[in-house]
Amino acid sequence: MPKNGFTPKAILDLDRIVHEPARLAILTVLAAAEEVAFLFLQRVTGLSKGNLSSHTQKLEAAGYLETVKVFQGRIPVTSFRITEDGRLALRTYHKHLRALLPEEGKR
Amino acid sequence: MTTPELDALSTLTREYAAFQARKSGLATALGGLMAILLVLAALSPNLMGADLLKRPLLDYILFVPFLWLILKWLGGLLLYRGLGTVKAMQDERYERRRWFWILGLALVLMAYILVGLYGFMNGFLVQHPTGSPLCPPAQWILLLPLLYLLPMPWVIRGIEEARVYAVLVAQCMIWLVPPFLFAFGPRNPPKQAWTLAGHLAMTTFLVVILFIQIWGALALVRGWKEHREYLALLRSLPRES
Amino acid sequence: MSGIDTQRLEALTQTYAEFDSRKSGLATALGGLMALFMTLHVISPSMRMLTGPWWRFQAALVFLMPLIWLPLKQLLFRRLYRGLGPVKALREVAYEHQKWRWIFAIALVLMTFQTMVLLGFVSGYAGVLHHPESINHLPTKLPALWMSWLWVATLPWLYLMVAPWWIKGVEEARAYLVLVGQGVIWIAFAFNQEGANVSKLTKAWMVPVFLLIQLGVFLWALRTIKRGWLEHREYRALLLSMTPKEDTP
Repeated sequence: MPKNGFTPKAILDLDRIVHEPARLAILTVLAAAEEVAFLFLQRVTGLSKGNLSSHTQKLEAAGYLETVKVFQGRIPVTSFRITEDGRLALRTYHKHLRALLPEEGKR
Repeated sequence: MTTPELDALSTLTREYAAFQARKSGLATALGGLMAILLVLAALSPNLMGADLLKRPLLDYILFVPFLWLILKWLGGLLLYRGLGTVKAMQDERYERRRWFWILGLALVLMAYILVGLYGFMNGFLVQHPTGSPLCPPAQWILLLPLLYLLPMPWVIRGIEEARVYAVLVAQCMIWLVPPFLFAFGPRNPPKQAWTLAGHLAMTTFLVVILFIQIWGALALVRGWKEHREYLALLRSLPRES
Repeated sequence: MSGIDTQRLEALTQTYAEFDSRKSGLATALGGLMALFMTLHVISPSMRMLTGPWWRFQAALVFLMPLIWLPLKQLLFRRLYRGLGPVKALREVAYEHQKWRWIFAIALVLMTFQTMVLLGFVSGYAGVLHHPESINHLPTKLPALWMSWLWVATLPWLYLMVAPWWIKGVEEARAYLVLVGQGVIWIAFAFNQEGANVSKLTKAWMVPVFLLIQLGVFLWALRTIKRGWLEHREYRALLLSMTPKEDTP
């Protein structure tokens, strides 16, 4: 074990669902609003449609977001909402990461 | 992904959501412009080729707040929803302030009706019971204060919008007074010196007009700035990878 | 502390905070009682027989009833439901929205009333202009009556003015709306002139509508009194459950 009490297990324990950059970006955006349209999420994260869909599916399977589908006239519009679990996971991830970063890396 | 990048993402989302939930951009500017035009139109009877006491101009003036609501809605739909709907986080304090604006306008309108009622009882009926009116405004106009208030909780989203709407409605109320006074007033007004109340009323009127002009100009600038802010926000979005 | 204990503690705190921020218990029941009193008092024969200053006092009491209820409810609330100090409930935006919508409904009722009165005056005046001979039938003491009851005309404005500061929850807003509604109905009736030219058609729909409203108020008042009482008992039970049991030696 290193002298300062650091264990590599702490890094390995990070939530991998949140840790992936694209998913981290998605959760960050969702946490800043109540409900976010697919199109906005796609543009703001810079992901392709297919990529975004696959990541949101993973996040939904983990219970971190929920999909809202409504019809505007005849056009189906997909939006997403972060769940309480998702918010908690994001907060915990931030906390863990901050604890792991060296002093100069913290902001 | 670095912390500043995450912060920027968060801010971008909040800003975009704010445009849909509270800000109005060009609609605010339009409100300012309409407020200025309303003053000019009402102060210059020949500006629009119509007399102040003639019905069409009065009707136009009284429907300006509704016109603004429709234009604002259309503008919001066309200009600030290009990337779909993003609902902002609910803010209880902001909501409270918004409701205070709505109820504040209700109080102003009620005070206005109260003054009208008092004027009618005290002035017109007592002093000129047989004086026939020159051109009485239609009675449905009296329903307008109620109609102005009715849609507010549903169509006024933010405090900025509430302010614009309040100014436009207040202006309509101001312009509604002279036609009533002329229509129901005496045919041969008594020639007497201005009383203190008269001077006060005139000064207040001029101050209000000046205030509206300044407010209108500021709203124009603010609305335009907000719109540019939105355009900058759109430009800052990354291209599809 | 066991899991069940913490759950119970949480529930207790939430119920107490609910009382502090939204519920009113007996204060709401008092609102119901006052609404009942307004109806019964005005339709009672004794009210019609009274004349002079005594009548004025009683009429003023009825008009001021909504404004009397507000400080009374506050007083009652402080006496009965704040024994353990203030505890603010968690903020709930949806609930706040609902409360504000009720206050807005009060504003709409009051403004509709004012508009109707103004329309009535203007159409009456227009009638005089079309038929100048009808000026002789105008009640001569109308301006004098108006001046002596001028303060009544400002009441709708005052009813609304105080609402955002004094109304805590949806239940209270509802009670206040009923009291205010009753208040304006009686104001309208009090200024109804004897021998006023009311068409048969108007009379035909006015009486059933009025009776229907009063029936609605009656039923609502009974329900509110019952609910207020139940809420009060709920609060008593909560206090009792908090009393620490003395250790037996």
